[in-house]
Amino acid sequence: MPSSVTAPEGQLSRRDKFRAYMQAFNPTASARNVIEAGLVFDDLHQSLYRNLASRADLEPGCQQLLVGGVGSGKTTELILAERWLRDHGHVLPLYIDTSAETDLSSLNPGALLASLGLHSGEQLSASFSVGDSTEEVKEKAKQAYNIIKQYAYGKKEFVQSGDSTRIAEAYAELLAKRGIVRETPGKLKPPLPVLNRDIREIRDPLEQLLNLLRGTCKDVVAIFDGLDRLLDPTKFWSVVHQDLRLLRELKVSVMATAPLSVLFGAGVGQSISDHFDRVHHLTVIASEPANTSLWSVLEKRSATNLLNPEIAGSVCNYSGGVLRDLISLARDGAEEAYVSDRDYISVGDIEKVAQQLGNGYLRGLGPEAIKTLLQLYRSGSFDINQPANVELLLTRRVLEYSSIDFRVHPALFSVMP
Amino acid sequence: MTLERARKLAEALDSRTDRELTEARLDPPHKVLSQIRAYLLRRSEEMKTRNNLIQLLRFHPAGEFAQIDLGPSIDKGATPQHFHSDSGARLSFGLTLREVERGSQVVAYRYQFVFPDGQSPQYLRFDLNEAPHADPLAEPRCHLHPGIDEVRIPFSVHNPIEILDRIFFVLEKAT
Amino acid sequence: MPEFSTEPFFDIARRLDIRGETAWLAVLSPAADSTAALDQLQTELQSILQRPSRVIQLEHSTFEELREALHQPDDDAVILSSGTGLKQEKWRSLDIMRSALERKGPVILWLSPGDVANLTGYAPNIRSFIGASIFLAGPDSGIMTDAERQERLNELSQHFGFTGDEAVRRAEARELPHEPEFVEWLVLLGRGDLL
Repeated sequence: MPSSVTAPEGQLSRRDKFRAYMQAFNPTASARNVIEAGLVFDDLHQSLYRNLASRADLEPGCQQLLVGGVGSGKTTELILAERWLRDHGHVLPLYIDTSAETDLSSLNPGALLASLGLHSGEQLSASFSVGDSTEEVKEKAKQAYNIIKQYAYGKKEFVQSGDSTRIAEAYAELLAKRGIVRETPGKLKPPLPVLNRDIREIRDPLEQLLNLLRGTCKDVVAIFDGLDRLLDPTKFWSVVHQDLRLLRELKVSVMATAPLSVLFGAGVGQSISDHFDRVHHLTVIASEPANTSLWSVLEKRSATNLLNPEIAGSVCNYSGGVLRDLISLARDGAEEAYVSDRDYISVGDIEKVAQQLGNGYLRGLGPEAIKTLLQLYRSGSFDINQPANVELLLTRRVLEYSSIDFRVHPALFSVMP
Repeated sequence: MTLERARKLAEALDSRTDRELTEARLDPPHKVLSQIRAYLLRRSEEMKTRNNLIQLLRFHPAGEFAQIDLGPSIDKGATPQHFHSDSGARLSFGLTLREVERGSQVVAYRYQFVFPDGQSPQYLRFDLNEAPHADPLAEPRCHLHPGIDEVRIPFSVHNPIEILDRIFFVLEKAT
Repeated sequence: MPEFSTEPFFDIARRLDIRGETAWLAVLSPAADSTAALDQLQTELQSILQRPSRVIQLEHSTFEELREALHQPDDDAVILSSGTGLKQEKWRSLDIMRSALERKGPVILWLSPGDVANLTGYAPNIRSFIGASIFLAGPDSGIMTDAERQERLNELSQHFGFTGDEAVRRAEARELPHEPEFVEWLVLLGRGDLL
């Protein structure tokens, strides 16, 4: 193309046009910001968030699990549920992103309770500033909160010791006090190291805070996001088992995310329904011609500013129905057009970014995995009890459209040998 | 006021120019290229006229020297290699740098801004010569051609980006 | 095995610029001269994004260190370098803490080519953020080709009416004018020593 071309007068600057599109199609934007910007097609999963929220509203103490693969839209559904509860419900939703608050790789039983306790305390403090609670109530809340804070972050306390005869002169003052400083680590990391604690000791202060909240506001619904990052299900269960059991006793409704590995793989099944009243599986959305959901997602973000419907179809197909991949491909296609000096996304732009996406999925796959994927493509057979196959699912090389419908990610398939 | 005195003042001006150039430091040549490219990218995006910066801006490293060019070395009329603005004006330039410790020094430059047809003067060219001329009154080391090749008006030494500021925010606005 | 797209650092910076906030992408470092390449990437990021950039080595950073480093400040351009490659456990723990890594400014993963497999295999949440934005570090496409250089030399010869050899002879005899066109001529001939 020539080095200099003059564009027609009166058009929005090219950069502004692409910038606006990029903002609408940002796959790494926070779900909360995207919802507030009005870019979410909230009927995508048949208003799942309303089901989650209304059950939490009507059944105190119920526990619901939201399971889905990476980029399936779990956080969006939870935040939509939170908003619904704030606007329509009779409960107080507390959204907690556990993966942002603590190092999940060292997650301990009691950590979820500690997080909930801290959030409850902060909420109560906010309600005190606008309400007319007595000083006695405020003092009770403060004491309970402090206990929870110590439980969460640990404490340093001075403890009397016994024999002081061997302490040197340099420590004469300490000798006079006859003691040492003992440090007790907390539940939340950071900043303190891991130590197992009896989870029961947090029950009373937490219950106190929750009761005070019920008195001043409403029943609490705890929304725990981020637990799906624990791809290894044993870690997930080690925390959930104790914490959520106590919350059930305290009649706190819970919504929590979980990794796909709790649904699939060997030894799975009964244990989930034993612990949760409802398990919602956020499946991948099929991009068959009759299903216009994916197109609706694009349309809600004004994709037609740069993307024509025919090419949008290609974006939907290559995404495989993984929401984040859908948004990414739409964004990356625009980026290709931008750096190549085009004003609209072309077929070639989408082909290029789909290939890039597929290459990423292809890396690290050995001959056995390729063979499994080809077999899945040809015959539809996929043994989900094999650990290697669960890995393919967790890493999104294989997509689950239902508990029995598995398919190779289309972008990956397009580059497979 | 004599011709001799005028020449002495011109020589003194050239000496000051030389000192300024010796003391001034720019970033290393590849960073200066990056800065100029980013600058022109922004200006290009503010215009409706499309200029493909990747194709237009050329860099030639040669030992301790580096040459940064945009457009032809000699302007003989509009070409696709020029930077074109919405007004119909065009820009070409050449910048020679010498890499030294802590960065680079400017050796020479030429920036030619040609106004749209029918405007007077027809062009302005900012030149920095590599060394003083024997007659610094007629040809100061750093000078401006006001649309006439034979006339050279003394001009202060500018940072390569600052000259572009004058071109885009002053000359282009005057078209 | 199909390759990722090769992009000069200028275009990588442009991509981050047009995306705006919270942009993530991965660049595969060249086999040779990775340090110089990293420096060039930083140069382009600083020029195009008009904000500072810094490099953080992932291998020895703890969760706390990384979280703090990424948020103080949180709006510059950060290059997270995996060095020669990270172990599986390190990728897994980075993946688990993805939320803590999220920030306003752009995040660029600087990976050895072999580490892409580890990214996809052990850090699917981070890989999901990267999407299709994995690029091979490419050469700067602004470098003058030999044909372009020759074209300029021909242009100068034709305009001034003598050859490059004659220009060199005059420069050696201190007879070549000091104007910028002649300076350019000598540099393009590789005779900057005569300046």
